[in-house]
This record gives sequence, structure tokens and C-alpha cells, in this order.
Amino acid sequence: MNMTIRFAAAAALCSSLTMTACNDKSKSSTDSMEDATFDQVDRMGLPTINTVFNHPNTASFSKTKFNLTGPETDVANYMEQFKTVLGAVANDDPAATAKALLPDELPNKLGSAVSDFSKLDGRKPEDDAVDVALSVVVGSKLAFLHSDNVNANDVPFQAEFPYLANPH
Amino acid sequence: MKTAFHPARFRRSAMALGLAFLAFGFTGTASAADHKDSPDSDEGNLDITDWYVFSHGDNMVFITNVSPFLTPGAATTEAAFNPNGLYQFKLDKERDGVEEAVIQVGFTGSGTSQKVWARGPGVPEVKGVNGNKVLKSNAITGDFNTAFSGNGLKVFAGPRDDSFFIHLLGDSSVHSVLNAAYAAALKAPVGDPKEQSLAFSKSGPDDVKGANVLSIVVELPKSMIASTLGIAADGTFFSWATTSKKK
Repeated sequence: MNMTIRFAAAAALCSSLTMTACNDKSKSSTDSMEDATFDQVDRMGLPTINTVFNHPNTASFSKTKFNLTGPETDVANYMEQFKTVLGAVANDDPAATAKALLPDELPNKLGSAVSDFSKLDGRKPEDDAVDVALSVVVGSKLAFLHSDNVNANDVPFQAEFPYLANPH
Repeated sequence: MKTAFHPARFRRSAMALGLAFLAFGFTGTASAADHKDSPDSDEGNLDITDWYVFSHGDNMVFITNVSPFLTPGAATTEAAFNPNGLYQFKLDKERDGVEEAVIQVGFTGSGTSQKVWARGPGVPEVKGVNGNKVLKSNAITGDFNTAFSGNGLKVFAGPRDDSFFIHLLGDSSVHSVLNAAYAAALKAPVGDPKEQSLAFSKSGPDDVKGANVLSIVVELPKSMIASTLGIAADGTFFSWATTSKKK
């Protein structure tokens, strides 16, 4: 079913039945949240970035520092570090690659019918993020490391909402 | 139910691989996307493992996974979101690292009786890393592990198969071998057998096979994103997922 139609149907159901799963104007369940402030614990934009470029428990390559900061400071904090790591894996153009990866945000074109991480245009579950990341990060001299030879999930994804497979 | 996935064991393995990467430069993806990358937080339900954004017809779908290596059949208290957590999808129109809009999801209660709420997309009162606030717009609410809709959003929050797939290259016992092999490979001519000894196994395996995660899935019309961000209907936006904890 077309999703817009499905949304419209759900909205109509809400107004007629005042189901709990619909617009909750009382907001009672979230009152305690509304006065609170929240500090960041973790973040993620492009897949594998933190794992690839940062290391736990060292001051200069700290995953925790990365997680507790935002993309706003990525270029200032990480450009040189990324270039160093990219150089170490024989990246063909560390400066250009680092610039493409920072700040750590996932680009998406609203006009694309099919998102594709290999084009740095979104990421869908079936995209082979590891192979794409390896190909982007590791230089052509080490092309044999451009794939982990795992090309699909262990179970199929679903074509419709919520897309991911049922739990094991 | 016992499985091959033991978070403590994996953490050790990931740590060793991290050390190996630092030493020999192969900083590939061996600790699995973002799995277990947040060592200061013992709360796996705030540890983001993956972030997906993709087109589906006239809608965009946003998915973030947390709780890496959730054991199938885990106690319901373990397999629940953090009621003191704020789960946000941050949207940026010019890739300057500052969000112009957010979609927020939060939870009340514990275990499988948790209630889920979702708000947005809306302009956040406080942008950036700290001091974030819940949007003042009306929430839609629903149940854990049950899809619900409202305000243009369709939402699901509950356990799923871990959608990530990767071969981890080995365990901690081989990192010193890999270290030496990598050093040799970097000096060896392309095609040298020493290089090939480092390559991934041809047959995988998928080392997160059989594991679960907790997933938050939000789908909404592309037009809502364009109008909230003030970009063209076919424009480009940039996004990242965050987890935050109540102060």
C-alpha cells in the first residue's frame, strides 16, 4: 500500500477511535522528560568511521572523545588524524578522502529513488557498508583488502516497514 | 538460550583488534561498524551500532540500532531502551555539523511493557552535543515492539536481527600475526603471497550472524524533511544519529 495512503488511514483511525497509539495531547507520559536536559553519549554518521579512525583509551585516538563531540568540531579535531591513518593504509589521496569523510554525517539526496551508500547517497540495510568503507579507506595498492567477502546479511531484510528482519 | 555472542568476550576481541589496527595501520572495520565503540557507557542501549537513511517511494526511512550483540531470548529488562535516554536523528542542510532539525524518540517504563514516544521533525531549542531538550511539539505514542503512526510519522522500536554484516578478520590471538603480516604486505609487491595471507577469508563468515539489536525505525514523507529544513524537494541533507542521557 502506498505509504501516504496508509498514513492517512491511520490518522483517520486515530480521530475516530482516539487510540493510544495516536497523537497524545496530554503528554503525561513524557512530562518528566520535557523539563530535562540531555548530554550526548554516542553518535554515528557514516558507518565504520569511529571504529576505523579512533582507538579506545588513548588520548589522541579516543573513541569516547569522538562519541562525546559533534560533527561541528570534526574538521578541527580529526582532519590531521584521519590523514595519518589513511596514509598508513596506503590510501591513494589521504587529503581528499579525509575531506570526504569529515564532518561525520551521512549525505542523502531527497530526489534519489534508490539510496546507495557506494555513491555516498544514504545507506540502506542491504548496502555492503564494510566493502564500501574498505574501498574508500584502503589504498589501491592493498586492493585485496577491499572486501571482507561477506556480501549480505545472515537473514533477508523485509521489503516493507520496519524493513529489518525479525529478531532471532 | 545460549549463543556464540558474549559481549564481554567481544569487547576484549574488539579491543585487541583496535590495538592491532593502531600498530599496523590496518584500521578496517573489524570491530563491526560502531558496535561496542562507547566504552565509557556500560549501557548498551545507548551504544549506537548502525545508522541507516534511505529512500522508500515518497518517504525517507531512518533507522538506528543500539544494544550490540543482544542475546536472543535475553531477559526483557536487558532487551529494553533506556528510559533516561533521548534518541535523536539530527538533520543538517549544509553539512556544517550543526543540526537544523531533529526527530526524537524516547521511552517510559521498562522491559517489554515500555511505551514509546516520537516527536518532530522540529527545530531544537538547544543544538549541538550537550543540554539538548525534548521538542515542545506534541508527541505520538505507542507500544514497544509495535508499529504506530501519527503526525506524519510511522514508528517502530523493538528487537530486530542485527542488520550489520561483517567478517571480523579473526580474534585477539591472531593480532600479532596480522601485525607482522601487514608490515610485510606494505613492503611487498602487489600480488606477493605475503599480501594474500592477510586477505579476508573467501567464505566470510558473517561474525554478527545470529545476534539481535534494538532498532528504532522512523519513516516520514520526504516533503516534511524538505519543508522543515527549507531545502528543495530534491535537495540534499546530511544526518547523524545520537543517544543522550538525562542529566
